[in-house]
Amino acid sequence: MKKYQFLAILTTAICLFSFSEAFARITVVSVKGTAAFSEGRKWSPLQPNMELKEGTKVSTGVKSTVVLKLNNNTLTIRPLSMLKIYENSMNKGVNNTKIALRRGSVRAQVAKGERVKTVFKIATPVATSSVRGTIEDATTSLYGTTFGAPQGNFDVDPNNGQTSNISGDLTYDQEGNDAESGSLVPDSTTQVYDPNISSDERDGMQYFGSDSAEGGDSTVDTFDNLPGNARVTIGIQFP
Amino acid sequence: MKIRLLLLCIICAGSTLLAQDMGSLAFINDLADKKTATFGDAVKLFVVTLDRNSAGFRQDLNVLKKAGVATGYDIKEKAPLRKGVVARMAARYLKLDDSLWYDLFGTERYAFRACVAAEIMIVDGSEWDTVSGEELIEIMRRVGDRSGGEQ
Repeated sequence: MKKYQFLAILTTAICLFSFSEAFARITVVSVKGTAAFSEGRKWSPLQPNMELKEGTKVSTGVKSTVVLKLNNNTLTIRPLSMLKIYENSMNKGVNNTKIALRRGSVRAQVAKGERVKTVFKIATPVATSSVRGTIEDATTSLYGTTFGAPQGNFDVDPNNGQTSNISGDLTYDQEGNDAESGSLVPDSTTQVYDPNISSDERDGMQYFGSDSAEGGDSTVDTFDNLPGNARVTIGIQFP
Repeated sequence: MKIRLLLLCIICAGSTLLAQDMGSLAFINDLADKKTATFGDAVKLFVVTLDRNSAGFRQDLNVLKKAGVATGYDIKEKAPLRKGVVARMAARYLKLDDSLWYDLFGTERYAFRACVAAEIMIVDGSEWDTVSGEELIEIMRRVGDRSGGEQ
């Protein structure tokens, strides 16, 4: 009897562990073309069905697409893009995912869970948005940042405080890097943040690493040293 | 035994053929850190965009000349890349025909304006300005988007 009780407890523990792990998983659904991931300084080929960890960078090549499953959400990484997954967790009923989009374009399909609060954030260099169960396109480069909502809607809060609601055919476009939205002192030891930047934006600034295989991560990298950086964090939060 | 060795060789050869082109991806990631891209960088990216493997600057340039993308260009590989050059190559690759002046004269000046009108590039400086690695990647990303470049 005690043996069966022990087995029952052990089985339940394994199931619970697996369940929680499934919710916090980052799985590569598909890879078309050339894509790589980096968990440190070295880039390795990305293959379907791989499990990625928090802190992993993903890069796609020319005419290449990667689809990731983060908890119940889907992230499509389009060609010539690079991002870093700096958080993907499931804690106390909150499904928390944070992506730092270094360059390129992604489409996020965020599932609205009935019993689970979902926080899905994409940090790019321009503004902050909060999303309610939607499909979202985000594109960023030194030319500027664009957000679109093929389905649903979300709010974009740039650092100048003028909130815009994006839905349907409307898109949010911010050209270039707005020096007034947030600035970094180009210094290897000091960073000065605009007081209006949220903590998520500050976090986003810390997560962009060098693109080169030799560069690795650094607290102040080439992206941070671009003049006149402004930050966008897209936050998708469900009440 | 010989059959097993033969099968093993076939599998190994097949795995290399199926292997991703990590070299081009490493090149792209290194390019993003460059303050000034070179003509050779643009040639390599355009060759990869044409679904060809890069085989060295000279061969790549010949491929682009045959494709009509780099016709008339005999620039050195390490020469700094100008916006006019990449604009003209992009306009040729995409066969942009929305700009009257580019259609008439086909110069780098009007190619740059045609690319701006097509939202491949932005109005920032002139066709004589150099292109950074990050900008070149963004231009090629937009070229890929416009040409339906996802696999």
